[in-house]
Amino acid sequence: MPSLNRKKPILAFFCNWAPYRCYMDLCRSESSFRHLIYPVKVMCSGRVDPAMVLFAFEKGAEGVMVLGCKDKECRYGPGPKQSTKIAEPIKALIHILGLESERFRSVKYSFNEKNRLLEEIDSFAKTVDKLKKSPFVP
Amino acid sequence: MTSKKGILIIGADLQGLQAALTLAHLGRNVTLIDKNIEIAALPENWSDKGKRWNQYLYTQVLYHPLIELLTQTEMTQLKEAGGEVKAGLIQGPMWVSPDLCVDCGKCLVSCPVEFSNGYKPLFELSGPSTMTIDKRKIAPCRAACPIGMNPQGYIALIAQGRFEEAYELIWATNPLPGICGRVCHHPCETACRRQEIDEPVAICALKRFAVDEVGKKKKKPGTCDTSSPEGPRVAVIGSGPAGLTAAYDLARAGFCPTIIEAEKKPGGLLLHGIAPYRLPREIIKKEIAQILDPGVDLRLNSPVNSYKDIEKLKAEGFRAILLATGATKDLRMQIKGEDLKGIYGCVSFLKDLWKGKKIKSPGRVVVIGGGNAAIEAARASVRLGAKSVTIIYRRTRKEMPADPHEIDQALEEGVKLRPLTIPVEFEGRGDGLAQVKCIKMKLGDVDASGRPRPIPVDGSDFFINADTAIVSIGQKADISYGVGGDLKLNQRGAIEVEADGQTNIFGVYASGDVVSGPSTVVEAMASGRRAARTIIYALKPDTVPDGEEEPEFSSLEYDPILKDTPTKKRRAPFHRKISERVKDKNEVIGSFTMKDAINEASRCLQCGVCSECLRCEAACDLNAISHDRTAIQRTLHFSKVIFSDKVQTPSKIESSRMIRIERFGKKDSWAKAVVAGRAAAVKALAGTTPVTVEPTFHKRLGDGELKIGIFICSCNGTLNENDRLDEMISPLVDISGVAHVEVLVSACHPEKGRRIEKLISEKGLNGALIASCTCCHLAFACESCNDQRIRLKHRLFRESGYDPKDIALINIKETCLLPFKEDDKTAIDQSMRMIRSGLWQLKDSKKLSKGSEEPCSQAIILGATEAGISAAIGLKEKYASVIIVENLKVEKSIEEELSKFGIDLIRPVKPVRLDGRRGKFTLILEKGDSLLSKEKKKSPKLSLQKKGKRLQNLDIKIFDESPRYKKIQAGIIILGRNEFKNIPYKRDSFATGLHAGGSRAFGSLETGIPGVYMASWSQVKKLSDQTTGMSAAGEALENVSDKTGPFGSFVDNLVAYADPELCRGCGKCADICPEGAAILEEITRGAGLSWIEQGLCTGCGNCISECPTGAISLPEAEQWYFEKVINAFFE
Repeated sequence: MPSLNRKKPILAFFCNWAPYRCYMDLCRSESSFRHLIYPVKVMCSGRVDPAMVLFAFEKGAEGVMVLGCKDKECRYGPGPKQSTKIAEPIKALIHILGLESERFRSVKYSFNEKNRLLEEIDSFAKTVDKLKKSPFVP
Repeated sequence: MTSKKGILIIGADLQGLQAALTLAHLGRNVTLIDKNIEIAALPENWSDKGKRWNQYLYTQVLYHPLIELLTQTEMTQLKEAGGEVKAGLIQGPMWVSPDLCVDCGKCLVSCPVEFSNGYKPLFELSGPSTMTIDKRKIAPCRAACPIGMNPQGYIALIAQGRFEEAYELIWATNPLPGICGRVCHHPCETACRRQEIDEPVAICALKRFAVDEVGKKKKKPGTCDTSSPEGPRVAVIGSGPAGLTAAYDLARAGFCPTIIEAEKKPGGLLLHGIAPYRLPREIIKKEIAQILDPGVDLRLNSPVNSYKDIEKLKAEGFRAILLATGATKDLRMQIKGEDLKGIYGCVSFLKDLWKGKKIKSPGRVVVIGGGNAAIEAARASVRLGAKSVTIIYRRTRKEMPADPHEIDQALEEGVKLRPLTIPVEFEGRGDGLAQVKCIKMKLGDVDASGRPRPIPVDGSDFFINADTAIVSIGQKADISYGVGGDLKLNQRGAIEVEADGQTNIFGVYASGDVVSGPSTVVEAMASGRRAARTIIYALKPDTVPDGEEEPEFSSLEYDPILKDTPTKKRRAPFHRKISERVKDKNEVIGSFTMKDAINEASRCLQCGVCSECLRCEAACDLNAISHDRTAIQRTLHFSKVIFSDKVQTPSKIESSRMIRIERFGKKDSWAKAVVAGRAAAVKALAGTTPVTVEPTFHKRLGDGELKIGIFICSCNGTLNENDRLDEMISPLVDISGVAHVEVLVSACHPEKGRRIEKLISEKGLNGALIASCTCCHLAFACESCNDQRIRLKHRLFRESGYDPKDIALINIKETCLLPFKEDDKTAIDQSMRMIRSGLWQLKDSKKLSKGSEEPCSQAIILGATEAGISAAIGLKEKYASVIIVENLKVEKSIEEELSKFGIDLIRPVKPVRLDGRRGKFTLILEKGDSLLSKEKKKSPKLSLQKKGKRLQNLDIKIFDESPRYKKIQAGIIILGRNEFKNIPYKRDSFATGLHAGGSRAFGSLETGIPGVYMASWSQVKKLSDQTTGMSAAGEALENVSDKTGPFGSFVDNLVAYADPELCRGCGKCADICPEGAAILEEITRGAGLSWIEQGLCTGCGNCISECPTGAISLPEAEQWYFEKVINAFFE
């Protein structure tokens, strides 16, 4: 695996439940984790609102991910729906602000999906790498 | 009669875990046992949801203070008596203690055993997250060794090139390893399972290799270091293998042994019976020196000739005397001419020879006998320049007791063998020997020794010309010192002892050949060891526990030998050329080369899987591993026993104290398992009372200016290679508010981690950040949690009683240190960022929400179905008033049964409308005609469609107008029939939309409306209605029991709060809240205000992202908090 650009950090909002569990499994596994990810844990992906995502971009994130549980597997109930609801507005918002909408991704996981998580982070990191440096990076 | 005794649950599968958790939530003490070590792991074919729920339950069970989880435990007996159940439990030996293991993986690295497919005897479990050891029956080589050496262990270490460790392991049981590596008759190789494939592993030569290899580097590879000058004094008479081993063992047990030797040099038969070309003298010297070194005294030239000498020793202060004088007196043939010149006894011949006595060329030599001593004498004669050497033996070569390898070498060197021959007379010329008259023998039937009896062949006499004859037909003990005393001898002239070495005289012991007659080096050593143990036990009874002398071994079978295991040729060490080796006294056989040794060692099949080399014990600084642990047996008393599905139930299960969780067919149906487990728990409630659980009162560390201590866990040092964690200390100390930074050995270890508590009190810290693997400071456990994290949280928040508000927990192990283990700089940089972000957990202000309302203590069941009735019975355990409403006919017998349980039945009524929320429902019932008086019968029913509004949108006050309707309050509602699901419902009297309700995960019977449960469930058809009903009752009970409930202590520190100043009453929070905790109330007509019910909020934070005015706050979920955390990353 080629080492990826560490200068382009990705901020990831992890739902405390299934995605965080996948992330823990992934970090513990032998497959060395080669992306610079700044994990922010939230109790439920439904908590993530556009303001938080914009703030991350403002501070210097090259990409932002929201990792939530799959529909009907939410510990609380409304989380996945809520995070889906905000995904499109966020993409539109960052587009207006002059950022590529690929810089935001919202993905849903089930427990035990560490390999999918690795693939997803890989592909997201590659996407972000291809883009120019974010104009917001201070 | 109710009992406060706990409830035993057998089988910690999904059902068992769920049952345990339900009972614990309802305040019952639970003991959960399972015969497996691993509980959280499930077969691959289970669905993700099932696995997740299992993991979740496992962490909950671990964290719950009322549940005791015993893995590897089986029930041995079960008796019902006196209103309780007596259960005998046996817990298998926990070689790795899950309470101490931090899962750092050091032991895994240290383990030398690895199979070709990568399997190791130590491996990690997924739940509990600790290591476990695969032990089988003791390996055959080890079982065969008379002194209990561990060939499997040292061979595994040699195969990995870890020669010093191999030597240490050898030395631990064998004080004469270099000697044994050369002359042992190696019963281990005879037992080796490798010969089922090709040939046994060359164990003996490998042992020699390890000793030689280490000896090259270090002068003194090992010492026995525990002898104390104050220890009891023991005299060991004789310095042969038996005496030396006994002295070594005694010294190690803290005794003060003195070896008393008659000759000038110590070594006994090692020195006098074995040739230097087989056993170089410097090896003997060196190994004896190692035994003597730490405090074993040696007296040379001190023969013990008479019984008086023994008495003298006693008078000198020796508390025990061990006779290990060997068997050195040659037996005579008792035939004519035996006193002629040139006829020697074997041992005296060899003894003279190796002592250095000049012996002139022996001419033609005849050696009589077939043992190792005979071969020894024959080969010695070759080296003395004999013209010819012939060994005469009465049976065939096959029956010769000598080592076949030694016979081969002798034959190679020119020795001739005459089997089936026996001498009958020595004939002399003058006073010297001239010829030996022999007769031929033939083999007859098998005799008592298991060998064919030799029978003389008549008239077969013949002569062998000979100048020298060496008689080697055996030796006996020389026990002149026994004469004149009371020492009892047996018929063979040896000392009579009990099996453990005790003679008939108090304080006098015997071991080695003096007891057994001629044997081998290792057998003599074993005998010495047994006698030493007897002496140790006699003088220091506390050091050798009676009956527990042997550690407990596993009884699991070895793995079968696979048919396709490739054959590998056994390697032989280097042998010197015959022409050279017969010329001098130098060693004939060399040591393995390193490459050969490693290759030969890798032939080992590792039969016992775990070799018990104890390297893991040495690697673990936390004492988590001990191979000495034994099984624990105990008898406990319970009020009830629950059997989970996979457990065999005793034949009698009719008793009300024994409950079996309902079977439901398919094994992987986790949802059914959850329902069935809960139902069994509710069944078990009857007749038990909850224990009082003290709510955790957290002690605050004090406010004021922040004085934070940062503790970085190094996970038993594994994360702190090259002290990289120390780099973080100085930049962290510079952060304002940080008073102390320290790298810990382990935060979760019960002892090492106590440093946190110690420093908090010593330094007066008012906050602590622990950077370890634990990822949140919430006082609860989710399915990402593991044993170590739960252990740390349990200690901090339950035992030490800190308030989670004062302790921040940050996971740097998994998020920073492990994923970037090859890149120190990134790992440390990332960790610093995580720690800085974590500090905001401490700086966050904690607001408290409005208090809880007392839930209504009445429960209502809709429908007197079987499911409904069993739910009602279950609920009666906690609810004072349980009402069943029914609009259909109910049979008389059912009515009677219900009144027996104190359950009210209202009929005929029809539920028409439901209002409110969990804990505070209002149900509207439409009375049937029979309940109404004549005039009231005329009162109209409200039509479902009135003024174009749906019934649930009608103002509830309308129902007050008609006597046909009755309002009834309830804390929870259970639906006995699925049709009631469509009952018109409105949560808040003032809300913009209908509460949609989230879909329930994890086998829950709760409907979309929080607080409303279904007593029968179409998805779990295989379960009886009775079980689903009970289960619904269980879930309802769990959710209302607040103090020990699933989120019991959670609500203390993570609940939302709606600021009335900012709320504009839009109701969005109420719409999204899955628990119905956000409540919109009408303040004045047309204007509402939200508030959040503390008892219901689970802290998900969805309401915050919905709230348009920012009125809702929730610790660690607010905008400003996330801004600070994100800032910390990008600083």
